[in-house]
Amino acid sequence: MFSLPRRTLIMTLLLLLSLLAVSPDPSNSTALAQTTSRAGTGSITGRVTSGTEGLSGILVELLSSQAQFGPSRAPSVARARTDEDGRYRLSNIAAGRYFIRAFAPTYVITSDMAARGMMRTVILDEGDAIEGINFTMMRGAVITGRVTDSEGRPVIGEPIQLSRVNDDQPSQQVPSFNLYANDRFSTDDRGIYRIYGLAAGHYRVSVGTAKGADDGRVALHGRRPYVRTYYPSVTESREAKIVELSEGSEATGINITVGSLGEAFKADGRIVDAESGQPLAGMRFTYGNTDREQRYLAGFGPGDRSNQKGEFHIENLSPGYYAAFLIPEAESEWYGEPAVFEVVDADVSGIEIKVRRGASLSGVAVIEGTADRSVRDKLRRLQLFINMEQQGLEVPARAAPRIAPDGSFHQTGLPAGRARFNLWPPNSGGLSLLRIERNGVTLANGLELAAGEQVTGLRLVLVYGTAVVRGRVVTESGAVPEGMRLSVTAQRADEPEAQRRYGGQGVEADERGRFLIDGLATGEYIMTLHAFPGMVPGVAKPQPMRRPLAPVVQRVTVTNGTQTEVTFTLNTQAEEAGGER
Amino acid sequence: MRAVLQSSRPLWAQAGVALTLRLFGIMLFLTPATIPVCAQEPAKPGAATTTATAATTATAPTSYGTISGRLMSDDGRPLSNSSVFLSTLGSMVPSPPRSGLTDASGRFEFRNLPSGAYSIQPNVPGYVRLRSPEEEAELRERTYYRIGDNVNLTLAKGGAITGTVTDATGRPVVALRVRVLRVRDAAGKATRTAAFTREVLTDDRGIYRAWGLEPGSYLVSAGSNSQFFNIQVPSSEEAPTYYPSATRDGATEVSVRYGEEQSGIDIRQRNERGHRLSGTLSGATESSSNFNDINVSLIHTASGLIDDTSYVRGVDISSFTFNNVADGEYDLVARRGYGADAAASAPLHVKVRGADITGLQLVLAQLGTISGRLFLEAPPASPQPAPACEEKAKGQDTRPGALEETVITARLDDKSQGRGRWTLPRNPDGQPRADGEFLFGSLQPGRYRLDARLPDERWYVRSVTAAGETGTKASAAARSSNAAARPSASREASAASPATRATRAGDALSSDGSIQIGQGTQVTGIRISVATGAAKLSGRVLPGTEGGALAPRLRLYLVPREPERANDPLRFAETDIRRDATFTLANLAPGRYWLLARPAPEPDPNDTTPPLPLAWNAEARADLRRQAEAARQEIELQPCQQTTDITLRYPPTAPVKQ
Repeated sequence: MFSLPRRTLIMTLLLLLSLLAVSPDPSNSTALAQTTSRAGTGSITGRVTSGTEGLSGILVELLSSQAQFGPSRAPSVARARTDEDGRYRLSNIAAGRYFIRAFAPTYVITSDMAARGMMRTVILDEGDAIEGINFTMMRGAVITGRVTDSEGRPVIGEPIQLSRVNDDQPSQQVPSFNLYANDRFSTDDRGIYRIYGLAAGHYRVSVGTAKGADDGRVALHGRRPYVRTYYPSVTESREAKIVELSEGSEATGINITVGSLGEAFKADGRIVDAESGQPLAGMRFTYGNTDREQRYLAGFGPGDRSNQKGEFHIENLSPGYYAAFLIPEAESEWYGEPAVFEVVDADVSGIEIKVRRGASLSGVAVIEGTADRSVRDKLRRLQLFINMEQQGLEVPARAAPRIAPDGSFHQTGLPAGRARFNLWPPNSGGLSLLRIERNGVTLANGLELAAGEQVTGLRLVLVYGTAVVRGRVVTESGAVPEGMRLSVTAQRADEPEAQRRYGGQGVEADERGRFLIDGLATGEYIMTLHAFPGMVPGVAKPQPMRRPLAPVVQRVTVTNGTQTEVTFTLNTQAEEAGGER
Repeated sequence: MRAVLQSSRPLWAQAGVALTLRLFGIMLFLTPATIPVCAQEPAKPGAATTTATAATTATAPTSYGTISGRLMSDDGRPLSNSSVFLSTLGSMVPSPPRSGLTDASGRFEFRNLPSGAYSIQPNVPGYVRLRSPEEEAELRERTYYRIGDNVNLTLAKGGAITGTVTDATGRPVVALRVRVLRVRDAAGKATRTAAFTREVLTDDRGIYRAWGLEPGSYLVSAGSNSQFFNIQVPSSEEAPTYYPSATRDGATEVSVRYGEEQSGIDIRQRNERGHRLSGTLSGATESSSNFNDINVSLIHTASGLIDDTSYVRGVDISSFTFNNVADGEYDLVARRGYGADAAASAPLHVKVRGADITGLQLVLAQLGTISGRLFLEAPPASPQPAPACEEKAKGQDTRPGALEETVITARLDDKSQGRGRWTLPRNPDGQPRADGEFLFGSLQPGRYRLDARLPDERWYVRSVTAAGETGTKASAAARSSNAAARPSASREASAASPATRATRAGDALSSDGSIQIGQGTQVTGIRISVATGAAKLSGRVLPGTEGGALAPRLRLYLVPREPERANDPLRFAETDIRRDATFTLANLAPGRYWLLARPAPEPDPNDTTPPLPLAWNAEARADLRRQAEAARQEIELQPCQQTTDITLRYPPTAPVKQ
């Protein structure tokens, strides 16, 4: 796994959640028709097993890998159910890159990326008959119980927290393969919860929020949390009774009686013009939790507006670190510095969000190397994101200007910092961002914006790509070691060095070492193979991450409309040299 | 919280280099306008919610104040630590909904609210609003509050429906979507909103439980395609099976009351393959806002309920597909955007009979808008009324109303709309700005009337007119100063959609106050003129003969006596006579009237919208006047008059001989 900074992961997660939040089930989406309309000749077979036994009736699904959906929302391309012996067969599949999953929610998948919350990739050539895409599973366990208040009434809609107590690590979150049913993590109208599909192990079960800054949570639309109470109704984690789950077991009667509500305080502040100190009425703001270092935000609500005196009032804050900040509104020229505050054991007042006129950017997006109107039409449907790298706490931006039919864009209200440009969906329909020019000069590393600077005349140069790279990864001994995770990135060789880590396309290779990158534009690319020693298959226990192997780099030249073959030779010895067990 | 966050973390958050690097650190806010609405009628339809904006616009609210209230359970317990949402219609300057929390005694308070029309939604898991059958009937019109109001709400435990889903071989089905869709309210009247729809998943034993249900009758189906997002569960492989093991037409309704649990609602899947519907989208598919999603609704024709929604998004937005559609008749409607930017297709009727259907074509066209201004006439300089009016008002609410507290509803004056129209709001509510400017968007073609619910009993609507030449200019100028309307308006112009037609109020407004909207018509310059000096009357209806019983379901009509008012629907008023035989009519123009009580029209059990006032129909007006004249219950209302002791007989006794 990449060692991305925690805040990046969290922010990315928030973005994805925000996109997902507005993304209903895409199973009826257009790509399905498109993908299946060109039925192919490939097939995939394999077996789903638990222990030595084949599991029958398990749904195996092949999903589109189109970036615009994302793996977890990808439309189904083909599906099959396993037979009596656990075998399945997916057929009539066109060449391409797919995700594959076995849907067995009462089981714990131990064989593939799913155990790490990742999708498993399959690359298929025309006519390929891929065998042995197997899934091994263990029967999941169940925890169920009831949450009541001190008067014996059910506590309804209360989220249940499970943390896994592990020999290797003191505490670990529940693995993310329990994703598909959020409501399983909350109590129902009788106060009853039931969580299934859990890996065998030791668990701590609790409700409520712990006291202390690191656990401070904004009660977003929510109730004041209870003081954290562990099964069996104790507030100290060391007194919590550990629930032991063996494979396929059911722990019942894991009941909790909640204690008192946690402490809650108020915070008052004002939104003021940074220059004049005058209060600003009607400004939209919100607040969220931040960490002790005040680097990232861990959640925020819909917010409110300042009143006629520029004041705001926040209620029901449990102790912790918070940031109040302006919500940038469409067409707004204002930018507000986030105000960070800590709630300890009393109400807080005197918070000030200082507002100043933000910087602005405007320019035009152009597509290089094509006059095709259908390609130009795609431009309008792309979403441009401007990401500001700022000093201090990064707060959400609304820097997502629309690209007008003539290619122009305009964004106001930006903070000072380094602006980076991204398109969503990445590589949509073959369009990708090639370079950014300011007054004819290519920017080497984003655009540095001074406070209040008004930048015009930017040119975002996009390219249209139809080149395909088909590749394979081999080792000296031939096959890729089991459980090895491989990903390949392709970055334009003419892209400025400093810009490179923000651009490019990346894909996962499948377990045979095949990979496929499409939508590349004519030109030279630097392709890098990242290899990560995987988990030991068949072990449901969380396994420590191991350090990646030394990346393998090669240069490849591609041409639109053609396919280029690439082979990477991986030195698995590097694993021994640099890895840690 | 932790478990929730963990559980909703998408698998692909860590999936690939491309995603993580490209999205490095970006977060953004989505404006309310970009949130697809799961309900069949958008939560905040109508008014110009196209873009959020800083409230630094031309018009400041008239005043600020507090709305307070209390949540109690039906057994007399205060509901403490419960959240309450407060939202505004937010015509021109949308605000995020506020959320408040009740204290130990169940009380909540929203302070520093700008004057406006607010709705209040308690959010107590497992509980629903306790409503009498009468209140249930009135639910069709939303309740709004204004600052100074004290809102006491009683909640009761909702109902629950639970059972097991098994496949055709009798094995329990795990993690299958079960949809619980309310089709009738507690009074047995049809509903056509998805607001009371729940979707739950079966657990590891195949058991589902939908709880916190409003009282009423529900259709329960297993294996539905989701209207709501649930990202990790594969869509069903077969057409939905309805309780107990039926197609939709053979489904058995399950009714629940407050606090009641219906268990054993077991469903055995039928293992019937559904069919695929697919087609293309064309026409006004391009939005002027950032997010260009189009949703296509699959509407079950007979019930008018949305069975499935296909969200079309991304770079290639030209086709749509529905999977696992059961045999039956449906209407397809494509829709995009909100407010002035909205577009929709005409409903396309399809019959699914044992086979897939491809090549369907939906053409989106721009929807209509109505904009104008609500204004308060200056009180007449000379005559008597004003002081008396003020004095009387003091008894109740001394604060005068503010224009922005008015709720204007653009009502479709036509009950006989074709199939599939239900995806669009038929009666969108809107709130004017403090200067009276209002704008309705997303209007399907048809004849509309603007209905104003006034915040001040001293006010009445004198007229709905077309602005004169100067008026049009004035309102256009006011609008161009409005930061909220500007961006969308200019984009609109640059998009230069041929389907969009700007129409002066004078050309769309007919003499009886109705407004004709064609495809994409943009009507500007409607003036709603409000005058002070309104009268109010209340009273009771007695049986026509001593000791007789009063006929059930009576309605009271106020009919203008002046012949020159005979065709002005604004001078007519009507209301139901309550069960205790009392009635109240307010916001009445001074003048000479007849009162007429007569049996209320029989309601259409399948009609989900409020009945149209009889006076909107010319024939009905003439008929009302004939009957009222014959009944001879005359009344003259002076400006500001408040009459509380009207006694009316039904059937009318013989009028006094002249």
